[in-house]
Order: sequence, then structure tokens, then C-alpha cells
Amino acid sequence: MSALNIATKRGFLVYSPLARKSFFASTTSIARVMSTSAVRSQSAPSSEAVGQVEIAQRARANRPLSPDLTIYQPQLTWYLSSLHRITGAALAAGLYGGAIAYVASPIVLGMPFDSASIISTFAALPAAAKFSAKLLITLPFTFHAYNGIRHLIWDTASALTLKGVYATGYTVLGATLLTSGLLAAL
Amino acid sequence: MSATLTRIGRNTVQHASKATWTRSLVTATQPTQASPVDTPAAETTTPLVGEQPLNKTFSIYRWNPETPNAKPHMQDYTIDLNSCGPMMLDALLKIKNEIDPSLTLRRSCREGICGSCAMNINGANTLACLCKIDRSAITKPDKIYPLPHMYVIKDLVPDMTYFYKQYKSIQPYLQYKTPPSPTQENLQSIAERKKLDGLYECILCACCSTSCPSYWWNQDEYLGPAVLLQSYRWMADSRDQFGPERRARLQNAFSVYRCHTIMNCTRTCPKGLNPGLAIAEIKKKMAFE
Repeated sequence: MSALNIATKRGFLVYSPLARKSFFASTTSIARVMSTSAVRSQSAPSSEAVGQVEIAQRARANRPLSPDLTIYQPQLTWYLSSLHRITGAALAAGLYGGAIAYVASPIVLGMPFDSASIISTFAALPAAAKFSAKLLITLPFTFHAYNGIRHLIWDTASALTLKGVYATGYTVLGATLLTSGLLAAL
Repeated sequence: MSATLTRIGRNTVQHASKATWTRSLVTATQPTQASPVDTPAAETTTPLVGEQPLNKTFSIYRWNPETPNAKPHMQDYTIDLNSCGPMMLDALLKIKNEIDPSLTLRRSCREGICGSCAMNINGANTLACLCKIDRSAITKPDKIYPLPHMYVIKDLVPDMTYFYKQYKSIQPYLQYKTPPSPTQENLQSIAERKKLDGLYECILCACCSTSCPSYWWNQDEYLGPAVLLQSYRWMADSRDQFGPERRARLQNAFSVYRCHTIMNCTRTCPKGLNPGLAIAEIKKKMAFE
């Protein structure tokens, strides 16, 4: 029996709801199982020992995974980290999607997807739509760029205190809102 | 166990001798009584004179291995805070003692040094014994879960086997190429000893590791903040001579580099340590080696 088996098995039995009484009962039976498997390692383990191991293995297989993302407190730390991941993926998707559309759009859709046609389509939009369309690009871009700088600073093992993490985090958020708005208003 | 014995002995007979301990334990475990585990001396079941009961609800994650097909669920318990100690652990033990003895949790020192009562309280990982009950937000139930993304043995008790195996894997002890003299102390300068501050205090409660999304998704290969902080503790020790070898073992895509500097670890550490910084120091050292 491996150490893991014994440890988890023990854990399982110790926390059985029959409380203290069964605690003593189960520790003695574990001792018995352990000694039998150690002593009779040559011969086949006793049927009782096999039964105990099976019970423990079945118990381990049934164990639920405790909840994680859905219950964890919203915190700037992991919210900004997931935003960094999402904006990075979205920007990459936009870049590849744009490049593919440039090549494929005239062939597949029969519609040109070059600078001239994009400019003419964009110019026809109302001002509010123009601003929000640009914001849709500038917001993830500026955030990802600023947070990337934050990560580069962290990689030198600087600003990695709780205070530093929050100060740089709010700075990134502020700078993102300001510059993405300015860029979109251009 | 001996602490429990002492406490039961104290409640029943003042200054109990060894013989009366045994006797008082026998009386205490009689089935008519609710499981009398850990009743703090100051705790009384009746509210203090002139005080209105201050009821608060605690919503606690329950799962019983005896009924493995029943899904985990939240169970609500309402207790009077005026007859309860100030900490979450006091509330949990009051619930266990007075309402539901089947509620299962780990606890030992009740002063934040053993790390047993690590759990997720109101969404953040912390030690129940160091977490104050918010007496102002009385209408909002406190939610208590086991440590996130761990296999649950029962209720608030997660299976820590793999976490301890990971700790063992970093060889948490001094290693020498030229062993120090057995007849002399292995000395450190004050500056060298200072480098261990903020590292040696870790109690391995696993609050940080189980707060880390990277550890949630890659628990099988990523070591996690607690174990990496410990790993750095031995690299930073002036007496240890195996720093480069320790780092060489981490030189792969998962062991350390799954850390994406999310910093939930530092945010949640109940001892105020900084695992995120320790990991950054390891990465920096590895980059220059």
C-alpha cells in the first residue's frame, strides 16, 4: 500500500461522522491493514485488507471538487489578470482575423477588405458608432499594453508588494480609460 | 486530543488529576450530550445580562462521504453572536457543539500558527481562527466553503495529500556539498539571517496555493505559491549549497513558470507573507543562470 493510500484512507476514516468512537475503531483497523500488508507482503493480502483498500479507493473516486471561480471574492488581482488574458487573446484574434479577411474577403465574399474600402465604410457611420467602434479596439489595446509594462516591472521583482500591486493596478486602469478615450476621440 | 481532554477536565472538575480526566471524558462522551469539543472557557450558552441576542446566519458547504451520491449543498445555521467568541472558528465550533455535531472541520491551535482551519470565508481564503466575524453586516449570511478546487473529504476538510507531496518534492531541508563541522555551530551573519524573514514564517496552510487560478487548473504539475515560497526559503538560506540544483529541478514549463503573477496568493496570505515576490525572485535567479 502506498503512502498516499494510507494517508487519504486515514483522512477519510478520521472524518467519518460517527465522531470519536469510530475514530478509535478505524485507527486500529488501519494499523491492522498496514501490519498485514507489511508482514505478508509475499503472500496475497487478506480479504479484509483488500476490502479496506477498495472502500478507501471508492471514497476517493467519489470526492467532489470544491468550488473555485464561482465563489472566489472579486479582487483586483485576479480580475486584472483575467482581463489581461482576455484582451491579449482578443487582440490576437483581431490581428489574425483582419489579416485573413484581407486575403479571403475578396475571394470568398466578393467584397474588398483593404484600407480604402474600410475607410469609406467607416466614414459613412454616425459619430457615436465611430467612437464606440474605435473604443472597442483602443480599450483592450491600451489595457494590454499598460498591463504588459506592469508585468515587465514585476519581472524585475519590483513593485511586487500588496501595496505595489494595487497602486500599479489602479494606475493601469486609470491610464487605460484616459488614453483609450483620447485615442477613440481622435 | 490532549488539549480536548484538558479542556473537558477543566469544565467538569477544577484542577483535574489524571484519573479524573479519564472519568470526565467518559461522562462527557455520553450520547445525551452534544459533542463537547473545544468549548472556549469564555463562551456561555446564555447571552450576557442586558444584551439582546445578535443573531447571524452562517451558510456552510456540506458534503458527506457516507452519502456520496448526494450533491454538496449549503446549509444555514443561525447563532447568537453575543454568546459566541469573536472569530469565525468560534462560530463554527459553537455550531458544531450546540446545533450540528456532524459539521466537520480541521482545527487545532486556534491562534493562527498551525494552519489547520484554512478555509474559504466570504470568498477569500483565510484561517477561521484569525478571521473576525463581522458584527455590523448582521443580515448578510457569512458563506464558508472549503479551500477552493480541492477534493473534499468531508464538509470543510479538503484532501491535502498532493499538496504535502509537492512540499516534500522541493526537499525542504539544508543540503551541503562540504558539510559543516559537526563540532561547531553553522553560523550566519545578521544580514544573511535577515533574508529568511518573510519566508520562514509560512505555516503551509495552503490558503495561497488554493487561491491561485493557475494552481486550480494545473495542480498536477505547477507547484503553487506555498511550495514555491518554501523552495525559495532554502535557496535564500546562506547555509544551503544546492541552490543551482534546486533551480535546475524547476527548469521546465510547469513547476514555476505557471505563475502568471496573478498575486491572489499575497492578497490572501493570513500570515501577511509574499509568495508572489518569492516566485519572482526564483524566476529572476533562473533567468540569470
